[in-house]
Amino acid sequence: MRHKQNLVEFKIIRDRERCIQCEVCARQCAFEAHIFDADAREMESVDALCAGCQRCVSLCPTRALTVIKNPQEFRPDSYWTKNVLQGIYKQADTGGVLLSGMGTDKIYKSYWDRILLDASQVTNPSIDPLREPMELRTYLGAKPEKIELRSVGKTRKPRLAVKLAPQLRLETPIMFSAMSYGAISYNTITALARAAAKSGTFWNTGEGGFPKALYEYAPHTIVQVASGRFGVHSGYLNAASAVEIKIGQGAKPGIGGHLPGEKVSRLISETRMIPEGSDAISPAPHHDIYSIEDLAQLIGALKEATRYEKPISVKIAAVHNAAAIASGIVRAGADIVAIDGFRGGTGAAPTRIRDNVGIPIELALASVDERLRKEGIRHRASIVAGGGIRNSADVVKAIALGADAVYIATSALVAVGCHMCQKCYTGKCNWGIATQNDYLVKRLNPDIASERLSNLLKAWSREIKEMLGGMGIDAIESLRGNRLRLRAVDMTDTEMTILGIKPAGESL
Amino acid sequence: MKIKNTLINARGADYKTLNEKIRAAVTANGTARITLDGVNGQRFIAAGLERHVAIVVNGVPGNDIGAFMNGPEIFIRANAQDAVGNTMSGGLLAVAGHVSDAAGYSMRGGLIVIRDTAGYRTGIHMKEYRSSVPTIIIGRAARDFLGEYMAGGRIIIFGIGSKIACGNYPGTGMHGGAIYMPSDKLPSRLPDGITSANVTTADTAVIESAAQDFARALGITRKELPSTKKTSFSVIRAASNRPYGSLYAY
Ligand code: SF4
Ligand code: SF4
Repeated sequence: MRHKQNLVEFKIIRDRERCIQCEVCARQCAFEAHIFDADAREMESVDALCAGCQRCVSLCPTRALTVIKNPQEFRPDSYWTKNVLQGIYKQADTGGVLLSGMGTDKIYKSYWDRILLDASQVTNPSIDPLREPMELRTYLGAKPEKIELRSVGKTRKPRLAVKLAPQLRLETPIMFSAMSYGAISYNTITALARAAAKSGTFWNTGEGGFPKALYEYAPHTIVQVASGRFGVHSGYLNAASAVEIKIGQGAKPGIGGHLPGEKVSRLISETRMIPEGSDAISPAPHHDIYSIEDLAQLIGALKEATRYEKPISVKIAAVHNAAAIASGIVRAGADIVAIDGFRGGTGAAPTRIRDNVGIPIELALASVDERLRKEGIRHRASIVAGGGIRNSADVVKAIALGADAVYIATSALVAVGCHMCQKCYTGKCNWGIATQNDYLVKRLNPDIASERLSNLLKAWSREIKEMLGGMGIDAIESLRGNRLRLRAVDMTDTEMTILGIKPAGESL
Repeated sequence: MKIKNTLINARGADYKTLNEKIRAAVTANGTARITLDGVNGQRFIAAGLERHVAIVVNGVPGNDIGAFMNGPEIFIRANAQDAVGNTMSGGLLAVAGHVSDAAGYSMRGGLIVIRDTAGYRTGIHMKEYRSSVPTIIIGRAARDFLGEYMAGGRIIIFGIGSKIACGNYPGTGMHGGAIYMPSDKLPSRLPDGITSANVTTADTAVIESAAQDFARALGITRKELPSTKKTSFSVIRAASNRPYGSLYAY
């Protein structure tokens, strides 16, 4: 065998005094890092196979296990880091493109963490959300340019004279963003669908199709149309509440999706409508879209096929020119523009793409909102921002930067057990999320998981109300694009200009 | 039983109005056949229709005719433009002329019959699933990149009156399905990742039934198409249903 140059990433430490050889760890680890040595009557571990997912640590009944980052280093070098060397060794071994799961873990400036929120003191009193009504309800879709009323009947009752475009009604401005059945398990999408229904919001099927058994959640479902058009038929389009055209994804702008054949199980094959075991390939471009005019054509076809009853969303990755592209998307007739920042997660992306392509959602969002306002077309579409939203404060900041609502995915997976090991592309997710292996899928109980997701939305919504109340605002609408309530710390002038916010300490 | 025919005048109507009229006619009781007169570039005709209804199109329809449809039988008495039958699930689209690019994009069931020539990337992303096997039959020829990323279904080209049956690189990125054409009319450049072979008896049966479908759909006789006994046909298939299996370092 060839000599492997790489260092193992994790070290498994077993407290032999505590270990009772129950083999729980061996059963729990799909990467097969634990084995029972029958001769020695001892548990043994292979550090090299460990993904650092902490499953065994959590489930060991006697708390005998600790999994830590391997302290062994190559000769320290701040440029040729361990990660860099590991990548080169691995590619020299295999000749393959490096893959990763989840969003980039590289250190880039986080703008969320450099933005501070305002609160009222004395002059504009804050509101107690526990006592006063606080409105988080949000409608996504095109809004009319102006409202006209006409009076009807003897009593001259006022009625809306303009026809409203179809809208999605959200009880809280947080939706679950696209994750396909295939990338994640059936139990996971079931949990997302149930939680969306319970919390009055939406989940998104991604491009993997919409399993018939989940059609009962259709009133809370957004379906996607991507270049491979998996599982797309008129029943699929008409079942959903909205249709999203996937142009790009924050984790891998300009790159399509490949669901490897080994993940195309019987159920997946039924939902995607392709034979079992065959690769599911969605290249980056839609081959009928090479321009805004072509995009308008697909939007038109989808609107015709759904008889103008559903909002059409277009999702793009946050890239340098996002503002101009978003303007084109709105002019092409989209009702919702979804922008996905470079921190967004994925089931599998080439590592170099994940770590180096795209821009932060904060900057993309601010510039898109600004551009649409300047052009006087902001009302024609709602903006949904996603890609690295970690908590309710990020949500509040996103809305103040101009979003109507946000998409979350990584946070949702963490809520149901994901430990961010980034090995989603192996299909061996020990937490039963990013896998199609029945033995692993069973680990995620959809009832418990949907409960946890609902809890997360409930908690975030409550926190959003607290923050709004603190600002003296009683409706989320009054926060939208309200950048005066944001202040920057530790940012350059240019960054503040792009975000449209003032430095901390500067008054109105 | 008398078939109820509804005549719709498409002159001057935009696509929205025209489609509303079509939908209204389809829902009206008993309509089994609709004739559209004076069609001139309106897009999305019959998009998303799920009824079994016959539609005759007089004039040149715009892009995306029959997109997402499942059931209608559309007969176009002229040429058609881009993305004919885009993502259609079932039904028939017969064109008595040429079509432009990307006909049958991601089609997953039903039949498209093109009398003359089809543009670039015909049958791109076609997919089949169990009994739903989409089929495109072309009388004369197709341009380059026929059946790109094809994952299932069948494309049959007869090459009538043409030196080659299709442009270069048919089946690029193909990982399922089959493309048939006369062996002496294969293009000079074939992509990697496919195999080209002489047809088997089972393949010949596919071609023969395509010839009959083609003749029936366009109202011509079987004899106007090459005989499967006298003409030697080739079939292009994917070398693997896992084209990107070895691309990554795990
Ligand atoms: S991969 Fe997870 S379950 Fe397996 S040894 Fe490592 S931490 Fe434990
Ligand atoms: S989904 Fe599973 S495989 Fe992916 S990062 Fe989370 S725990 Fe790891």
